[in-house]
Amino acid sequence: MRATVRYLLAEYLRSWRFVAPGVLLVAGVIVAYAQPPNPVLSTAASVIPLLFAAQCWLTLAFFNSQGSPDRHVLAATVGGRRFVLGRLLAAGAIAAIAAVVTVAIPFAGRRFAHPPTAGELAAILFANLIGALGATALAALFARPLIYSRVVSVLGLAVCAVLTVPLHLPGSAVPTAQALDAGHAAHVPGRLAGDIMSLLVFTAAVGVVCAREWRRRD
Amino acid sequence: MRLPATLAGILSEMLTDHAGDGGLVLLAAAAKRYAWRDPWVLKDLDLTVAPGHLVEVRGANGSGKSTLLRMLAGATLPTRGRRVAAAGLAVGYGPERLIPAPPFAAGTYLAHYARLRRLPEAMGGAHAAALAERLGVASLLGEPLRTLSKGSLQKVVIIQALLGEPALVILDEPFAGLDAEASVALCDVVSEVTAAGSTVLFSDHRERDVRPRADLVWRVSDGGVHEEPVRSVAVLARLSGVISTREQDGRVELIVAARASDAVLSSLIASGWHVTGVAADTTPGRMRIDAVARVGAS
Repeated sequence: MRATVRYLLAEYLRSWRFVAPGVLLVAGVIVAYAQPPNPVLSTAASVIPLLFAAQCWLTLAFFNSQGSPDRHVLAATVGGRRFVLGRLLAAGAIAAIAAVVTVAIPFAGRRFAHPPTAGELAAILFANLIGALGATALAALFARPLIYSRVVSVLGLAVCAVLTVPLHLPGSAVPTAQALDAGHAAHVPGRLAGDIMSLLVFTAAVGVVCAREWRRRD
Repeated sequence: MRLPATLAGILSEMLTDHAGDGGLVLLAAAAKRYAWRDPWVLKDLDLTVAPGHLVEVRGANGSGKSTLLRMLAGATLPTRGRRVAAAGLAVGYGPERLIPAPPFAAGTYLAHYARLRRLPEAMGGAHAAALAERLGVASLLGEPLRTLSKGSLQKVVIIQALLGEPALVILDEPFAGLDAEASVALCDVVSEVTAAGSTVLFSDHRERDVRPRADLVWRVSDGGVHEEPVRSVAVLARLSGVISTREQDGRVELIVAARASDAVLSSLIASGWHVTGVAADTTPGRMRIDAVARVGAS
């Protein structure tokens, strides 16, 4: 499994397809933290929708960067189970990196109003991770080999991502941001409990769709 | 309790490659189409890939050869029906074209695939280097795949598929783009791999002077796969009554038991051979039959 994830991530890195969404994320975080005082939790919460959008793009770029023949060779070589799990794990790893980068930039640049406590950092990281994984799962449904048309893929994903806001779906960007904007880090895990449950259910459903359809559609 | 059990069954079916009985891969009532309302590319296939065979897959452009090979390799699944693979089956698959090429140097790409096949680093590297030497791309291993010519990229793809000597090697149009020297080398490699016990399936839509001598030929047409008679000397040697075979310059000499000579002659003619001579052998009770491959026959 490690070799599969390593191959996929190496291919993604060398494709440079991560650059545009990566620049969007980094630039967006820098701009969001440009205006002090930047209260720790509320500013981190305001960045989660940006992370959600950037992670959708990063995920699309990841899944779409691999050509069909290359995907066929990989699937034949490693077998169905390792192929599906490897792709999902690699996408999850990208989400984890994006979640860490989103909090690492203001932390390293000392942009927070006060040095965040370990509890605050953990809460931010946790919420970032939920937002990024939710975006990953959503974007996987609009990526190859499920959807080949770039227009359908981008528009469909954008519409679905925007629809999560008025629908107030737990696990999506806005509710996760609101849960993080709790005033106190100790309250965050409790407020994120609903998001975790819905994220788990949604991710499992996406995993089933990918496992069933990836090789059937290819 | 029924729902979780059903769900577990569905998940298990989706996430595992099933163990097959006997054959390496089995397609059961398999059919494939690429989109809803599209015509079926392949339909109602019941096919078993047995160990130790060299199978040539023939068919016109667009007949479904590549789709069939991808299904057998496990790169794609049937839209309907099932693909069943032997437990732990190692598959090497070489597509017709690896475009867009992955963004690696040829050597790095092969090193990744050696790792994916769980080969020790030294063994994978040595095997890749030996195959690259034989196919004439050893000097190109440091070059990015995207800068390689069609033929060189094809050779790297073939090396990738052969790495670690998987039990099932599937090569889609491996001779397209290869020069004569590399074609001969590939024939030799394929023969060695088959002799070592692996099954090799390769497709070719053109008649070529240089290609491995398959012991099975599958023709893909009208969405189905039909087995064709083969002009392989190895197949002739397995006919009942054949005592020995000798091949030279495209001619085959068979020594057969006299009582079986009529049956052997019928089989020869039916499988595309032209009988050039029949005579009594010096050993009593035996006949000698000379034959050549009939031009234009499959």
